[in-house]
Amino acid sequence: MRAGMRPFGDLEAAIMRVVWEHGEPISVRVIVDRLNEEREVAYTTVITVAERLREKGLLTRVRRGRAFLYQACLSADDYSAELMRQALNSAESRSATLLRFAGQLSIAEADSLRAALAESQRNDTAEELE
Amino acid sequence: MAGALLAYAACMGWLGDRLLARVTSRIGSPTVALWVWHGLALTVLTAIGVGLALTAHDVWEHSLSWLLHADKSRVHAAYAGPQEVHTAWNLALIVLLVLGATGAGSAFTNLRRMRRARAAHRLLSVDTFKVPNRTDMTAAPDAAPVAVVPEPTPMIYCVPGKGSARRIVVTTGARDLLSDDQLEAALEHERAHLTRSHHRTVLIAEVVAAALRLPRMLQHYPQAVRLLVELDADDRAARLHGAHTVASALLDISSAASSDLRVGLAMAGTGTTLRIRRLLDHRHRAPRRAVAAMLLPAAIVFAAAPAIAAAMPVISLVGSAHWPDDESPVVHTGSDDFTHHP
Repeated sequence: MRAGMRPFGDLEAAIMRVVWEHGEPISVRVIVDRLNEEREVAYTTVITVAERLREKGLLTRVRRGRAFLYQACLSADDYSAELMRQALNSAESRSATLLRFAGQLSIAEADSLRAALAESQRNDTAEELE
Repeated sequence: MAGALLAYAACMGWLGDRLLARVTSRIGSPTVALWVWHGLALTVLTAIGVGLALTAHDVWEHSLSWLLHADKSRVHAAYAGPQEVHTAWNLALIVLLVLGATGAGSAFTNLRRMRRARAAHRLLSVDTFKVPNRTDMTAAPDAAPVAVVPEPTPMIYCVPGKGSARRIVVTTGARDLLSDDQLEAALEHERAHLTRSHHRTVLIAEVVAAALRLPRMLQHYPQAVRLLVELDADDRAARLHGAHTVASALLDISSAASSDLRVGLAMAGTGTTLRIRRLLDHRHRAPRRAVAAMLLPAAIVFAAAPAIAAAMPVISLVGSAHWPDDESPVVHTGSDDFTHHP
């Protein structure tokens, strides 16, 4: 069953993208139509995944007449901002999850390294000229 | 034998760990250093496993022969039967299970965290952003998708996964701060993490260290591995984009971060200073493939040593279960007894 569940990850991302682009509350029918421009998705599948996203706290549901409309809890920007906040903090927790490109240097360290870099580059050009 | 193995494990787990942690950054090739660390971990784990099993066996027999004034060899022979299960064996098994469970717990937490991060980052839309005069960043079919995220703090990191699930995240702060060359070098660094499964390497070290947290062995293993995968990725980026480019990208990101961040938001960089110094130094050093070629087999032999040592006394008895002579030294294993002596 695990292998079968993996495509949901992509579908979740696709649905969130449609909801975010739309901006206002959106019906499942509209989501399905948008998704079908790129790929074939069944209406029921989209409902299932949208409900999962609601359980995860990413979407909310509002009633309009007889239908339910879905709405993102956070805007795309707020979502990524929250994710970045977590990523910044998670550097401290010792985990194998995120590998970051660079850490933090004190001003003194940075200055001395900058000098070393400049000197190394000067030596390089000098070698090339010789 | 058992005592020697456990003493060996302790020696390697405490002293070896500390010594290797000290010289780690001085080993020229990160790949070799990683192998030495994995070898050390393997040798300690094997020695503990085999040592515990043997200790349990010895302790039980010695204590019985002392307590009952029984002849040692007869006690030994009495327990040589195939169906015996010793209490002491069970104790050793319990210790091993406790270590194993601690390790499994750590693996579970880490994997769950990783899965969550992957799911969360999947929702970030992938950007195809072009660097002038260069190729499309995400053009290659196997290239990891890059997500540019609006965030002033310069930050670049990667989330592991398969195909569309993995991400390299670049904040707009980092994109604007770095030159095109620097940005490409930084992306190459992250790609190296992903293609070389560095997350998994770090995960293994975390799990081993967690399992051995009680005896406090190999506690420097994760930290060393975390540094070494960075050095490895640095080397890869430096080969393609030049050491100076990588060093300056590192320097720019890490010094900008410190001025931007509010106090208290600590970002533990993994040896950033050391990495930059090494990059500036590195180009004047000859590649040390010869050293690597010599060290690798040494590391493998060293890793297998405890298992070999433990098996040594029985080496002369290989195949003895099939010997026709009934007076041959008895090396019983349960199943053999049933199949070969009907």
